[in-house]
Amino acid sequence: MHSANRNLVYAGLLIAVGLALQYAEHLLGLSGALPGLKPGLANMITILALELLGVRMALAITCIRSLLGALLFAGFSSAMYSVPGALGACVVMALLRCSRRLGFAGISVAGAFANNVCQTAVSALVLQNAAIVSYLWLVGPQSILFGIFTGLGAYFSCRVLKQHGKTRSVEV
Amino acid sequence: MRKSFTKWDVSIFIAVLGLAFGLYFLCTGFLGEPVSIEVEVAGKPYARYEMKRYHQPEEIQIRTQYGSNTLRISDKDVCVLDADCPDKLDVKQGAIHKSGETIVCLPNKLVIKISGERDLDALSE
Repeated sequence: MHSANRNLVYAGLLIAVGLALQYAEHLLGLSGALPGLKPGLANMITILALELLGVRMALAITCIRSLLGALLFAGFSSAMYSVPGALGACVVMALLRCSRRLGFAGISVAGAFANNVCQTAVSALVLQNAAIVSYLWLVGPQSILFGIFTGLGAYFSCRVLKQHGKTRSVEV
Repeated sequence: MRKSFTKWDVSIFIAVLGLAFGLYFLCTGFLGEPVSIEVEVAGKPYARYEMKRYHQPEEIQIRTQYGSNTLRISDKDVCVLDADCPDKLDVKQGAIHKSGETIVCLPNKLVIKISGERDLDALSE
């Protein structure tokens, strides 16, 4: 397949899978009472996009995925924190990918952390609710736990895609 | 292809933990010493208690259309002694004593929080 077409197909598929993951998270009720605390399964899609399609496409996919997800499952107001959170995670992970020594787990954990901190910061400012700040210490262990999980998920999906789909990795 | 897990990832984990605790202490430090206890019912301010007036701990009952909770307020902390909600998570949580901390009773739509000397309002201006 022509590479531009292939990338477009991948972008569409990644957005669709990302939305499905967000919906699964929503169905399982993992979103919780706090806007900042959730596992962020869709972060897997951002990692895959960075690995398969490069930084620019990953940013676009992340932006569309989080905006659509917020509009579909949680209402417009939640887009205010989910979009900056997802984009922040994407930028942090894109920067960390410059280091060849880091594995998927480390990059994913840093992304989850960036996502949570951005969301907490935005929701504390928007809701004028200082109470959220007192949950910040939870963000560290939570990012590590879910980050490793999503990072390994992305690693195995990536390995399968590259073996069977003959997809080249984007080298930084 | 990149590895799934390397020893360098551990340094990321340590940095993330350190940053989370650092941010937490920075933010709670920013809020200052605890000053008052604010009670919200269904998202609206319901009552406010100045902590320095409670050298003697006092029991206060909050009875609303959503349910009833009994608080114990002192000049250092606040806790929920009893509640008619089914899960009693607010009672099990125990006392809170730092600025920004909250006790939430979802069934009774009750939020109890400790306000500090400074508010986040100052941050967004």
